[in-house]
Amino acid sequence: MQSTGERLLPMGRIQVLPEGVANRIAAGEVVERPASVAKELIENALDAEATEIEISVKRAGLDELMVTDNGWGMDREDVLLAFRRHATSKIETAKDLQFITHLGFRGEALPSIASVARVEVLSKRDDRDEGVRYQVDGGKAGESMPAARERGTTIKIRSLFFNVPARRKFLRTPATEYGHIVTGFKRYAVAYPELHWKLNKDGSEVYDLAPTDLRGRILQLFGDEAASHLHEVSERSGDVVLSGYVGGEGLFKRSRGDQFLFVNRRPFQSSSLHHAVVNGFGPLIQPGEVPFYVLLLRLDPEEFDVNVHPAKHEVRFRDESQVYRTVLMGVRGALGVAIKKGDSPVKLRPAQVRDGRGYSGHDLMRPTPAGPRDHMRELNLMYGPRGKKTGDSEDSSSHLRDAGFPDPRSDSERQRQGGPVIGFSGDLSSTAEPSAAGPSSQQDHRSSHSQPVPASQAPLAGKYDPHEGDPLPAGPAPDAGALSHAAGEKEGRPGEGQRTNVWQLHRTYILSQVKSGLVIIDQHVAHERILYEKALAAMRDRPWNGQQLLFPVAVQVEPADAAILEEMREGLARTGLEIEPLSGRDWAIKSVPAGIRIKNEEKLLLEIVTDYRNQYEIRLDPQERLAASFACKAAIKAGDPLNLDEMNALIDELFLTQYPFVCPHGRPVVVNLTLHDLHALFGRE
Amino acid sequence: MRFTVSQADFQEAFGSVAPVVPSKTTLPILSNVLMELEGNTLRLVATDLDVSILTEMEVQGERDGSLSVPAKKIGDIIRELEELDITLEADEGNRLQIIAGEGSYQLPGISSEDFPSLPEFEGAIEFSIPAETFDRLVQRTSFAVSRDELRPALTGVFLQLRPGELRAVSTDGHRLVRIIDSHFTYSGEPRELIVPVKALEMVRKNIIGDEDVKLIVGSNQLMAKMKHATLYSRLIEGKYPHYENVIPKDNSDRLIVSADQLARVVKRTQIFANPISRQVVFHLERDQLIIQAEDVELGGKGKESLPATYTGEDKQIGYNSAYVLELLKQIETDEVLFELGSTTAAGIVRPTEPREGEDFLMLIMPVRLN
Repeated sequence: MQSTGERLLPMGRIQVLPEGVANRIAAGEVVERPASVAKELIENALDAEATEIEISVKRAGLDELMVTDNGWGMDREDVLLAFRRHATSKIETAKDLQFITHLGFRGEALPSIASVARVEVLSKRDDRDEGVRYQVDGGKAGESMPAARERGTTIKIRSLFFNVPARRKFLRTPATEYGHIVTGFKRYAVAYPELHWKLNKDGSEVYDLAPTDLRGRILQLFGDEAASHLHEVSERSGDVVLSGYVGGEGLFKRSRGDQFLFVNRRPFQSSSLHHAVVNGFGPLIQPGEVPFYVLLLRLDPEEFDVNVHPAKHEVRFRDESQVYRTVLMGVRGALGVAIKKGDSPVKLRPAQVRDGRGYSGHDLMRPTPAGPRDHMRELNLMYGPRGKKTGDSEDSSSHLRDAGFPDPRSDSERQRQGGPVIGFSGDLSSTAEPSAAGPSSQQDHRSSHSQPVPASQAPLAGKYDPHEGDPLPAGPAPDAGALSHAAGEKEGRPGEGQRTNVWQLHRTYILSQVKSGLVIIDQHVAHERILYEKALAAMRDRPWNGQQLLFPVAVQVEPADAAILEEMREGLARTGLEIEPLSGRDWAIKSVPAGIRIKNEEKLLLEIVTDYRNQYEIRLDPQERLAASFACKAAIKAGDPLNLDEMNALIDELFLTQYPFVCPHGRPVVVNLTLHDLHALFGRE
Repeated sequence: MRFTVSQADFQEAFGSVAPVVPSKTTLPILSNVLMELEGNTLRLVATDLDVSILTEMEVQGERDGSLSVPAKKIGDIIRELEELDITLEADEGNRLQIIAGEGSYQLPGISSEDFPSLPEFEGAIEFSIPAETFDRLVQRTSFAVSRDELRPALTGVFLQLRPGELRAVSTDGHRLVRIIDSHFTYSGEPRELIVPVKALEMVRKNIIGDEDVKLIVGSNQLMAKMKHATLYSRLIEGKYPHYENVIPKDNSDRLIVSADQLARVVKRTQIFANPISRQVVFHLERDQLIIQAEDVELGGKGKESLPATYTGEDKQIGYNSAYVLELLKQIETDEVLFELGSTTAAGIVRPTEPREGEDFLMLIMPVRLN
């Protein structure tokens, strides 16, 4: 290698790395398979600041792989230099290696590729009048000649590995190789949503992705259904900035594939950060399920090292644990926020927005036409920006409204205002009329009291129709409508907030039919979650009413616990549980929280004291500890019979909590069996 | 055992014991009804170990014997039979054969030896209550008993026998009912007992016509003798709270309002109350009562005013609407009288006109409004 980089600079933009630099880059095989060729060429295109990148493959790139961009382009000198090993336009000195912000810095891609394939380059630099055509066959340079072309570069790779039979032998089937190409394509398309991306396969268009934002790109790639499952991630910890999306239950997969990690827009893989994401989901995800995520890390290039492996799939972070924590907290925050909005990340899927045109389908491989992006914008509006911008003045109900949670206070209001209403597909509150009745009859029961909705808006206000846009193929299986029909008719109380298809199982679980299948709620932890949040709210701002007792209940406590009672007394009083010291170890309970079925006040109080005393959760403040103890002990237990009203109220209140899916101890509250799951169990699919 | 009996008679007798059979039990034999035939007398017994009931009926006996059979199954088949006479026969293998016209049905029983025997009973105190009085006492008190099995005393109705006076009291700690019957013909020693509400309900169901119910109290048991059935019940042990202490003496604010209208207003407004706490607020003003409910969590509120006579300070008191409605159900007069004190103290609810020979009052504890 020659150290001629600096001299060459004025002539062309491609430089040959100084030898020292070249040596510091681990030599390695860059070209493993067609997908790695595509990746290198894409990165070159990105480095050339292209705004449109098109990849065309024939027989999975084994026969031909072509990448066309509209970037700077190269002139003759650039092209010639590009095919010299370790030529790169990106790094000038060893020092620059520390500041790698470009993607294809290795400068070894083109020569490597050229050594194992027939390569044809057609390029025009934006400041030149004419373009250049150049061919290299298995490393043997051909002639360069002037050619006509618009600004940009087209690199066509044919007969990959034609001279390396051993390598060719190790290639998988075209389908597999194509799969790798698509995966790579998606990664870059997601990382650069502002660019126009195209992918063609054997002469036909697979993707044509118009410039959009990250969310839009995800929808383009994964279908509009994904919209309702996406939860925005936004986290910052020191210099580490994390953004992106995680997918809720509807996007869970059994195997990995749709997980995207980027650092400064560079795709990479990391089992450690994958673990952080899964960890962030906690009990919301079952073992064996893999969440969907697109996470972009932004941090100082000095804080990580991409020069680990020539294929650059891995990244080493200087402070790995900080990145891990950021991802973990980011995912948790996203899910927390999602839940707060009533837009559940698991199991209960919010319905898609109706735009009156129906859905564009859910074929993940099908590019989405430009149209639905309008509707995506609506979605963004509906969901609104996360947290920060919503402002303190807004009450929690407006969050719910924004997210389309079936908020009884605001449904009618929203309808009057027009605009799409995001329903709640796992709508526990509707008795699910037969779907044949059409969307207008599927209005939220709560809204049926309200003003009539103009016909044109009726579909907007409608509930999620199980037939439309449901990612579960309805097929010949009994559809949700038919299933709910029977249950709904049994005790139809139209117009009332009563769902009747709710059952108690073994006095422990509440089962309810939802449109997507079956929801199972653990009654104790559900109530515990409700009480926890209520108790906390009661202590902080809105005291709970206390049902006064005719006979104050005498409680005798250990002397050591008397101090604890003193400490808890005020907080408890705010939950409606008023206690009063009598003398020495004797206390009296004067009232109990209204509306809680408390079987034995004395036992409750003693249990709360014990639980409170034994809690070592230092992360909780005293109020939270008290609320946790109170919730755990005052909640209905497994074994308590519940009537329909109680179950309904429990479900309603559960879904008004911030985190309806996890109990204060981290156990899951709600488990869902989708119709899909059920069908699978019965071998229907 | 073999006998023939009219389907209707058998169904009736069976129906009087069957409700005692516990719906859930860990002891399978308790799901059975015991049948014992002696001559022409068939005796049916059911028990849940706390409460046992026995009834006797005339049948055409052919062969003495006994067997216990699943109550549910036999009840179901008897109800469906259309024949006038049916023949029941127990075989050696503890199976019961039911022959009705062209039909013959067989179900497995359990040997009568395994059936719990009726308690040995030694009565000390005996008294009678007219059917109507008994019915009223039970109806007025049973709704307010506690379901808290950890405080057993409150799960029963407290009876106080005094010469010339019978008091029945029930409470769950949130409300209380006290009814004093001064027509009581009793001259023995004062006695107090706590009777399981189920026993009282069973007696009430088995009263036929205007017979007197004869009650015999043992040391820890009660026996109720009716024309067609005899009931045995364990008494609840424990100390009943000093309820007299919690009945306010100086509630000077008086509210008089139509019981029916109030019930209807509460029913309407409570639809908008939180479904769990079911709390409604009484806004007491001179000559007006406003009932209001609001569900802060789920949204929705209701408010309705109704004419009322109120003497006292304007105030707001919160109540569990379910309690209010249950109390109002017990009011037989057109109007109901509330005697109220502070907003956190017990309120007295009673009919505006007491019945002759009866003092009836109920207490309701408010919900403290924060």
